[in-house]
Amino acid sequence: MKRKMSPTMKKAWIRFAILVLLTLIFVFFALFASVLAPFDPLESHYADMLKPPNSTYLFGTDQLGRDLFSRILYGGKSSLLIAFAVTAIISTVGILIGAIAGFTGGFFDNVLMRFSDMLMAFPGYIFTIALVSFIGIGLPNMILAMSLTGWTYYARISRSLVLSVKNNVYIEQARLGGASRIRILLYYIIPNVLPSLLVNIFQDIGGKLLTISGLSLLGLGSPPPAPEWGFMLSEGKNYMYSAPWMLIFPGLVILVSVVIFNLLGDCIQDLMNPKENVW
Amino acid sequence: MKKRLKSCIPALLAAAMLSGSCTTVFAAESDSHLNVAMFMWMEGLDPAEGWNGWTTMRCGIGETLLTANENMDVVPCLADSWEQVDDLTYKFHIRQGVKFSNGNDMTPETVKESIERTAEQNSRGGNLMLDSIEVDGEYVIFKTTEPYSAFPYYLTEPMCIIVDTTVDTSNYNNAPVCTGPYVCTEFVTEEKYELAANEYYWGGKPGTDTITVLNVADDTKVSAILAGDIDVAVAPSATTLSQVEGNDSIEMVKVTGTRENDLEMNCREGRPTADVNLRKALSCAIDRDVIAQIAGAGYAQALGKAFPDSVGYDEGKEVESQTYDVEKAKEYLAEAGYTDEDGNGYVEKDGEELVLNIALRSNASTAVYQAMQDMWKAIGVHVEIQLMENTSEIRESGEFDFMSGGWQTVNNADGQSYLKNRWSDNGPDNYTAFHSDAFQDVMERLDAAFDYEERVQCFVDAEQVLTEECPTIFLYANENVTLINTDTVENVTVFPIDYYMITADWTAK
Repeated sequence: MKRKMSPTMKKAWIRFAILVLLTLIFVFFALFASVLAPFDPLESHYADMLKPPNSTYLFGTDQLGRDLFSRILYGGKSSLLIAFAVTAIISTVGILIGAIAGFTGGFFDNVLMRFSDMLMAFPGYIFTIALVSFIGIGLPNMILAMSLTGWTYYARISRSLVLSVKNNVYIEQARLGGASRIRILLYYIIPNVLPSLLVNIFQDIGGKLLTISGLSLLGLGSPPPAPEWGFMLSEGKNYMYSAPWMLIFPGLVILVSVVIFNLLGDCIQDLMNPKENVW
Repeated sequence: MKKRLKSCIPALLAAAMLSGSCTTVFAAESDSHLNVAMFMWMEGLDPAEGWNGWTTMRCGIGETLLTANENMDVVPCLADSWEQVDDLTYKFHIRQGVKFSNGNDMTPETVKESIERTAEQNSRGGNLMLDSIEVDGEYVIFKTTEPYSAFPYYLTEPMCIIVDTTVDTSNYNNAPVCTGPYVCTEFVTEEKYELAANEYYWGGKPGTDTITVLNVADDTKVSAILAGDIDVAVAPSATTLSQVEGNDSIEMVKVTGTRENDLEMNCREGRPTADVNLRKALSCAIDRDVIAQIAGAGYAQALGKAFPDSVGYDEGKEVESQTYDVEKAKEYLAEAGYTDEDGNGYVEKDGEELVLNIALRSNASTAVYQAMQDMWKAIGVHVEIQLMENTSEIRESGEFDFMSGGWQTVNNADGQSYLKNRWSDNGPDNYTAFHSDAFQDVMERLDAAFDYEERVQCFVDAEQVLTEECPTIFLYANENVTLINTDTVENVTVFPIDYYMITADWTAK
């Protein structure tokens, strides 16, 4: 039966389309940084240090005369890639652990959840900073530290979602039909809880972008001279008054990208709960 | 750490009590107060410990027997006259009527014990080369173990601040008892030193009742003085100075700097940079004018030798400096056996790519090092920047290629300690384990040179050895910039030697 879409839903879909488009534009710029960038992001032009934005250097140059536009493009590549990678790792690990804990219950459930409670007891951001400082500064370590602290959130949510579906009749039926526990988990439970988690995953990408920038700002991310949005902010802060463009442009792309991913997450949520009024 | 914590508790209690009593004493009088942004924040005030005396000196708490004035002349201070008796013996007349901040008299005995305390406890104490100290009436007689021309200059070094040794000295990192115009009433770690005028100061009543010396990041000093939060800011970041250029109420005092900035290379056996040709290649690849511009934003000069021009030792003399010459760099590199065989743009030796590391603190400004990395890439040397939370560990263990350095070249108004500490065998700051026979020879000659001209010649000779053997890449010398809010403070003298800061003359308007 075909039903006519309500105006609110229509709006939500339009919003979704716009946001997806914006996301794709961002991803496109990041993926094709090497083609689109007018300069090598590491190439210094000592005659053009701290030049304001002009026709040659679209976003101006930094303290070594490097083209900020090119650096932001390349920085986007690494920032987005790390954000996607970290989110993918923690959501996969977290969902699996949560689903297993919720599905099996008992001792296993207790141990896993108490362990995640323990990790969640620390303030996540500070814990990540402490971990990076402890295991050493650098990109792989940053990803590791963020993954170690980030999965618990997904485990919690997926566990409660699994608990809410695992007693449904269709699960009973599958069990009666002779499906193994692994099969039930992978084919009956996870597909049913995944859509609700998708919202969290998209919203989390924005959050992770912010965390990465924050860590790089503190000098805990990729070592220089690699272009990285947060690190560019950190380099620019000394020039806040004399060369504000060194702060404005990296700050702006961080802001815009985080907002886009957060809105996208919200939008997906709206689409999945059509009863609620959107806008 | 545990020990430090333990010693902190009574210290904090004492500080709390002291500050409590002080506010009651001084609240009754006029409340002239200044806020000062510290140059180079360091923790602790006990002159017998590490570099702590430098903070004690900057805060105007401690004084030495001799001192260096704003023209870098060595002048009497706690000793009012002195003479050299022979090559080994110096006789100082101790100023009479000087009291410590606790009211005790400063006697020749306390002077003797105070210097002995530093000589024993401070890691640089051996630099004094003391054989014996004797008290003779109002005189203190120092004997050195061998002819040591730098001795009187050394007495101006803040580690030789005279402290009261007749009382318990265990709390001196928080509240040392000295003779200067100010006393520390409260020390909050990483935050501030609270100072109050020393009522027993021998030079008369200090110009200001209380001073707060704050730990302000160099980057924010300019903003802080513009906001009126501080009255004097020493050494703000050069990149932020454009904000105060042309400001009427904020005076910018520039003194030609005697502090250098460099990158030292590990000379230990087995390290790639143990090879002098590689060191020279790395040095020749650096365009110091660009580096000075990046680091100093117009407030720094390029430097290719051990002493900045402002020191004046090599004035009018023919000296070789480290220079920027890419072709020569490549020649040195080839001489050291490095060539780019696989054509990836980076040089190898015996099939192995040369990769060097610059270790920096994670909060350090990396601009200069990124530029150097880029310049080295131009001659095919692969250098990576490594950020870490703590660089002192690898500095101690010797597991590094490059270590950044920035040193006062004329501590004690004299170049001897800078040269000797950094590059002579067993020098306490010789982190790169540099050894040179030629350098040792000059240092020996220097010790026996009592004539000023002869000493200067030794400084220049040592400078030449360092250019020739290149253990250190000299980069730039920045100007000492002090910002003074002329609406709130007057009589601020700015010294070329940066461990002098607060004086009794500073007056709050």
